[in-house]
Amino acid sequence: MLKNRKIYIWYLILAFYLIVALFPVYWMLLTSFKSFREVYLPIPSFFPKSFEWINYINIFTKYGFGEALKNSILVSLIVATISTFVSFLSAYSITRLRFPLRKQISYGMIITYLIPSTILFIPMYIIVSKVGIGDNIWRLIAIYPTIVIPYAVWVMISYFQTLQIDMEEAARVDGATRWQIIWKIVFPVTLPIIASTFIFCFTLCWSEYIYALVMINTKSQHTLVLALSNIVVADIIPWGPLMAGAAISALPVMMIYLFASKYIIGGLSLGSVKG
Amino acid sequence: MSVTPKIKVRKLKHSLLNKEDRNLLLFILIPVVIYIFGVQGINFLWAAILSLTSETTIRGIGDFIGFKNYINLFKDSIYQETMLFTLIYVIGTIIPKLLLGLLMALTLNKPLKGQNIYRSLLFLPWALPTFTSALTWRWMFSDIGGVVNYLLMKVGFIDYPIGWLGTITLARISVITVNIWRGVPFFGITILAALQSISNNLYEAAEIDGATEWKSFWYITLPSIKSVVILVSIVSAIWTIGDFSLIWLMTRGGPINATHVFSTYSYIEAFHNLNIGKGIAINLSIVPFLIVFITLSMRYIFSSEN
Repeated sequence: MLKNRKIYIWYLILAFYLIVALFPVYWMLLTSFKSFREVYLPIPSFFPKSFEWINYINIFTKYGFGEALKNSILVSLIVATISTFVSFLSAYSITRLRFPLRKQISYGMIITYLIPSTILFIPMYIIVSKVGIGDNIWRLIAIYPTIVIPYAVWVMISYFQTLQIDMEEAARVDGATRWQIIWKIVFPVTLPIIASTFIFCFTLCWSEYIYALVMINTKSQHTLVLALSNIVVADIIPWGPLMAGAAISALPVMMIYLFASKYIIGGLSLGSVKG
Repeated sequence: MSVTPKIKVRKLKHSLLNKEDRNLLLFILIPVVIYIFGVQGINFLWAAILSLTSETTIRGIGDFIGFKNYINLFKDSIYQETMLFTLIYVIGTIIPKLLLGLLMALTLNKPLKGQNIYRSLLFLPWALPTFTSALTWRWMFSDIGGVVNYLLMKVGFIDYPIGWLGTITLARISVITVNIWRGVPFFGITILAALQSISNNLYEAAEIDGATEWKSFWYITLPSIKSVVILVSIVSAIWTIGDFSLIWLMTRGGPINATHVFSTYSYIEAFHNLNIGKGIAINLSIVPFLIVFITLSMRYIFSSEN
């Protein structure tokens, strides 16, 4: 049948996309395992001649990566946890409860989300230093929720609008309190969305650059992004350790991928497409 | 819709506030709203005020000079270059991302074996942290030891290694390439979701009427995904205008200011040249465009809701 032959074209296209998408990732990992000499071979090797861990060791000992890693983990975990929790309850309130200015608040959330955070980094920096938070990661922990919460609230509002209210009604008739309704009925059902929102919030904080660059000047408080970009200053860039650092930075995402890629993709579709 | 009994059950859709609900609002929603809108609001106001000054540093506000900062921007050649490149950057990335994303969505929509694995794998460029991708590609584009040059020479496209990040045109192409590489999965997955919501009945009816595959693509598929495509493009455009990490980590806005976008130029003005008023003015100068884009996207967000 003609249909059978035609399907091969699509497999071909798919293969092309896969190669282009994955090759850089492969190259990053490949480089991270090469020795210094092998990295700069005139004819690059597409498979390591010798498998070296030296880059991963150096990135911690020579370039002080450990602290940056710790800082990034702290910031991202704290902000993602608080933001997801608070956004879940806020979005629920906006969709289920009736109070004045409801619509305006949800419109405001979308608008705030759409405004690029890179517009306001200068006044934000001034405010943060005037308010008196020291030159440490707490500046970021205080600021990142303004970037992350609008997105989380918007995604959850979209979700709650499509969530059937029957079960909550039934529970209310049975005499349940609002708190019980939220945690015993709504929360379990929303869990996949909460998971993907948490992942997205975490990734946003993990890779945020300009605020971290502007607000943190003490080296020991740097996040991963800053630590890596600091390596890229001299003329001869140590690509081996740099790629090792990049690979470690990609680790959380990779791990989440192994276990829950459908959450990441699912959350994305929900936030952008309605219905 | 379930059949409701004749007994009157009070609709819970918008429940009247009882004490518990009021607490929920008071202790969670209102603080959040105050925090988010308050911080952003103060930021905007403060930024607007500071942009009307000169000689402002972190230590203190400078002299009030009215709109001079903005007026001077129009004469500033680097600013003009920034506007130009931002335009090139947005258009040069959105169109390929759209086309390649559409093709990707169409491919994933076909009955191929191992669908889910492919979807996850193809999504990886978008999921990776931006700085990881930027640094990896910078390495790949490197003129010493970079694999892009090696592959191009092997295939015969070029005769000697070229400095991808060293000249104006090439640096722009490189940055655009990485942006496209990162962004295609976002378009692809979103369009795929829209494709999958098109009812099969439409295609079957068209086939019965004798339509070719190309015709049903043009008259059924494309119109059905139109609003999603527009929304995704607008949102992507907004993000691209506000991009910082990718540009900064690959070229720092160079060479010779060729790849500056608003955030990178404003960063240099405010923190290297210590001209905070001008830096903020650069950022705020795109607010009119943002208003247009955001209004458009609001329209499409709420139209596709119906």
